[in-house]
Amino acid sequence: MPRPDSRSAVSAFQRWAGPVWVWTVVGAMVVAGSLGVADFALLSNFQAVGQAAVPLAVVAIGETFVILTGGIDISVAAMLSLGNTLSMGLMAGHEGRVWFAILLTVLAGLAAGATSGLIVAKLRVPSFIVTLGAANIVQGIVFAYTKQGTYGSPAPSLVNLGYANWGPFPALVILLLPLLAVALWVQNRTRAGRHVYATGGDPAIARLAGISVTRVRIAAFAASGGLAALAGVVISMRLGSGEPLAGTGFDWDAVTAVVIGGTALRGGKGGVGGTIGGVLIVAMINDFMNLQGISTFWQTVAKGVVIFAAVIAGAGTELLTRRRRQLLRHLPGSAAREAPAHG
Amino acid sequence: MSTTLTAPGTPVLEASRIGKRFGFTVALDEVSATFRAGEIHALLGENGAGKTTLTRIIAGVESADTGELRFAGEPVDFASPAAALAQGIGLIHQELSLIPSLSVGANVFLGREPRTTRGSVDDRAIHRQTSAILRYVGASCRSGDVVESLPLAQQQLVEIARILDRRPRLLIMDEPTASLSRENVARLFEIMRELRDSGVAIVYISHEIQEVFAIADRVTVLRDGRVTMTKPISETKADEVVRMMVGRELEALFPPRKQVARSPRPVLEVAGLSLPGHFEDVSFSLYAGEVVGLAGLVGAGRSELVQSLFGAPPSPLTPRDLGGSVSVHGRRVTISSPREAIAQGIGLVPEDRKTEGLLLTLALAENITLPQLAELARYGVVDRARGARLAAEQIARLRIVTPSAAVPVRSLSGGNQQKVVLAKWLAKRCSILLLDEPTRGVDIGAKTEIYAFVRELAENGTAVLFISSSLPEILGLSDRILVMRRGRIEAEHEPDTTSEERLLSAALGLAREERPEHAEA
Amino acid sequence: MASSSAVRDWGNALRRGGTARVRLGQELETYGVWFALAALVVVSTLVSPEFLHTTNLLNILRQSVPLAIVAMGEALVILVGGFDVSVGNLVTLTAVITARVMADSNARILPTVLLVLAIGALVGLTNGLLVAKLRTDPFVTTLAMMLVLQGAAYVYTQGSPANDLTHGFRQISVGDVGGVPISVLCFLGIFALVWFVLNRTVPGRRLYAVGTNRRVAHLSGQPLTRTIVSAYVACSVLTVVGGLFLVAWIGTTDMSAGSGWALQAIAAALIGGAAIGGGRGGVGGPVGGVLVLTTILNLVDLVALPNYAKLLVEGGAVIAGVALYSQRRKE
Repeated sequence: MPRPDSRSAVSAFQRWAGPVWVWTVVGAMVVAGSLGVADFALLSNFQAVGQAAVPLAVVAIGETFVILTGGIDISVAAMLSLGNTLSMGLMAGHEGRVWFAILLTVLAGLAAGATSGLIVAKLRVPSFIVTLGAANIVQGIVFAYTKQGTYGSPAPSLVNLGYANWGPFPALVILLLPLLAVALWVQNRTRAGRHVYATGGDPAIARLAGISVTRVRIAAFAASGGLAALAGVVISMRLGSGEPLAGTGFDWDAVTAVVIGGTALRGGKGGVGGTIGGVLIVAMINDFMNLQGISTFWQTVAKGVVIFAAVIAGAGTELLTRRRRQLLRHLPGSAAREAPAHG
Repeated sequence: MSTTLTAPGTPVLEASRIGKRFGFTVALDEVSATFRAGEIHALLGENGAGKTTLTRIIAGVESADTGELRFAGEPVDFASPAAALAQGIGLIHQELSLIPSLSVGANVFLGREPRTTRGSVDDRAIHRQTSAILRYVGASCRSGDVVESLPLAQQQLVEIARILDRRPRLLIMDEPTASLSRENVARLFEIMRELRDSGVAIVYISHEIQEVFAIADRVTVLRDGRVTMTKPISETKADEVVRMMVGRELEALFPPRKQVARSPRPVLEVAGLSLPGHFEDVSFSLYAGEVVGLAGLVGAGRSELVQSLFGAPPSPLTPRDLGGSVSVHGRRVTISSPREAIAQGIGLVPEDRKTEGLLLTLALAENITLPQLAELARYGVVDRARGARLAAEQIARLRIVTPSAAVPVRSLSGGNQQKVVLAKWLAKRCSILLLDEPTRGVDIGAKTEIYAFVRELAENGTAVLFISSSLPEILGLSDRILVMRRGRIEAEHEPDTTSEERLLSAALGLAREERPEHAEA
Repeated sequence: MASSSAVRDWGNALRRGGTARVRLGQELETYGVWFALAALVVVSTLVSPEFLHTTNLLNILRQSVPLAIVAMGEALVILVGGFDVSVGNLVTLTAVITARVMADSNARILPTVLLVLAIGALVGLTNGLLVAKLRTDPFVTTLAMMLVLQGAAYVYTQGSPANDLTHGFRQISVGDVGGVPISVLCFLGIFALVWFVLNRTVPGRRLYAVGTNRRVAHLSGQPLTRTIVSAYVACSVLTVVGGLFLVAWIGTTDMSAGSGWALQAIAAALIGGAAIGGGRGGVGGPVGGVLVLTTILNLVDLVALPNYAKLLVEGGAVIAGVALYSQRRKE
């Protein structure tokens, strides 16, 4: 009896933290940066990288869920801008309105995301088209709301949070941890999380098993919208105001981070753990380039190249594994079978 | 694992006068059957006889057009297989319904993941129960293994485990042993006997007649969507069963065969051809002017063979995975794409004309001229006049019924659509024509016409190899018959000295003693 | 027996697909966008009397030319079942390179045009080979290309200042011949060429075959890789051409040239009859789709709505096109 492939089981590490190679790359980059890039190995730099990475991490967590279901959400940049401007506008510098503003903002993001999800799930239209359109509409709303200028201001307690450090750790990073814990818990320990993976793995079979693929998709897009809006609030802690274009670039960065972090674009594989690793990689690339004085523009090129590489690698391994599996199949009933004894 | 529920002999599921059509084709015609507790009931029939359709209706995958189902006395109409499973009807498919990227345990508990008191998924319970059921069915994989990394046999066992864990009262097994080893099958039969003895009703579909006689208590034979026989297994024998599976009236008329002197050199020579997972060590020759019929059951590898000869083996395999040799007109060739096959003078009419043979939204003329697109052009510009003439020729020759050559193909009837596919290759003047189920879904009139054309083609020197699941068609149209079974050429027959029963027996792999003795004249 | 079944078949053919029904269905698909355009024109005239002024109408046409050329290219890629979201940034790159390399020298017109066309071909080749040979997802592949092009454009503009373009080159977009804009004349020529290649040549018919059903095309001996790559190359080359007309119109360049054009081109193609998954639509429909978009935006200007309304309109148009698409799929 042939033994199953010993590499088959998805280990506990992978379920919570993503593929091993992602963190190997992270580690290698830290080492390489410390050795090769000036001013990299300073605590202040690590803190800065951490702070800059948090908003992207929040967006990327939401994007992970959408991609796990086999879709993609390109409206996150606009949602982030919405979150930023809306929360700043509602707060307008008043301390007492903090929670109200944040709550309403996140709800707006959830609602917008759910709408996109509804169109994707019910009209069966490719998600990138729907979210492209949603991005435009939301951005238009943002411009209308802010009359295209800087808008609103944060409550006093939030003003410095974006750059504060609690002990050696940036405040933002510490605040991210509970969110990350909840996201990981939902992904790995709840039925909803299992259904997300099932939907991405094979929606037809998932449906046959009684899973409501529609509900899963709507929830994923809603989460993505809500988290992007929340990221907008986080951004405001660093910007100090509401910027209508605050979200620029976050859409592609989020997708890059998710893809690098081991979540396949087809869906059904990967997870939030790997995404955090991907976020760190992206943040460190940005940091390397900033420290070296390389413009943000080369960073865009670098990201494009990275996605190319990921896409090629993904497609290549896909083809190879399918062929390997086909070649391993034995003929139905060959050699191993003879007529069983009558009885 | 015992679930003593109902007294043996009580009807668990009664199907009354079930009818089902798919478009033109009648899949089931007033089929009635009763499946009883404590009984292993085998369903036998040729390809397309209706076995799978019937079981899919019972399990809630499809719904019947007419007729009634009663489960434990109550009329039922399940909206989905999940609903049927929840009620106690389990179907083990031929195609696995597992999500490849998930683990075994996740698949077994898909959609019904147990929860702990704190609300999270109870992975320990999943692991425990999955391991238990895996041990029970004799699988060697573990609960945490990812399905797509397992060999097919283990995946099949996982599928079985998934259904058995739901403790169904009616268990339907559609060809469950196709990929299993001998030990797995033995264990599976043990389980089936245990379940039967505890009152479960089991429906067992298989093409392995020996298995059926080894395990079943009762057998029902379907033919063309109707029940032809229902008997306790002790009251019948293999040859009677086979006879009940075949033997329909010859409805269509076949043109007479002409004895053409066979040329000494074959047009196509295949030696030791193999494609991993599909067929192995296939050798035969095709001569100009002859029609060779390729018989066998679904899964024997016939379509894959023919596709491979045409340079298009089923993905993800490629022509480079082909072992053995192919020679055309005496010269050894490597056909690595349909373009090269066409250049060698080979044409293929695929099994499914709608998805593989025709561009449904495009016009007749476009479809007919497609293989010759480049040749019909001057300096890259398509010569529409020449194309229209070519199309008109073929429309007249094949008597295709259509208002014009500019009409999209999807507006034609099935028979005429099939003729358009034929026309593609007739226009190209192939020397070797491969046909995969050329008259499937085609009405009688068009069938007769197609037979006549095939005969005409052969008389004009084309070598024809055709696949058919209709034994009368094989007998009526072929000069020679090859039977494939499980990826190998099992036998070669002459139409004048064989019969439907003998062909089917060969396709089923029955030992000589079990085959029906007389040849039908 | 043959004749009775023949009669029966004839009747079936007429009833089922029916010549009349087939034609009507196809007509709605192909011409629906023109009905929409006509309705828009009516609405616009009612809303603003300035709409029908010759200058305004000519403006609409002139503004539409660059995007229309790009939309035709996008339609070709959608026809074979793919997407190209890098077109916007390719336009930007074309614009910035042209502005700096050609600058105000007439002698450099031809070399510059050849240069950017070569770049376009290379971009299309890369996209096409990845999608056709490695079976990568078209969206993500062209997304990566989009980022690379965006970065490249930024990097390039750091180096040198933008000059005003030579007047000789700008004529193609700004000039008239007897009252008719040269760009419109050029466009008609380009359109005719693309239409001819698509409908009357072997490579064009192959696009339809591969887009309708890849497997059938493969089994009928058509070269898949070559066909798919040619679609992507054609798209990129047409995009560059559109970019040239755009930069000629603007005269200089900023980084916003071409921004958002990917979405507009895809929306125009979908509204104009293309279907996701391929196999449907021509090049006429997308042009109509562009006219619809430009007219709507023109209306927004005439009514003096603020800028953000344009974004809302574009997004709405995409969703609308998408909704239409799902309607078409249901048939």
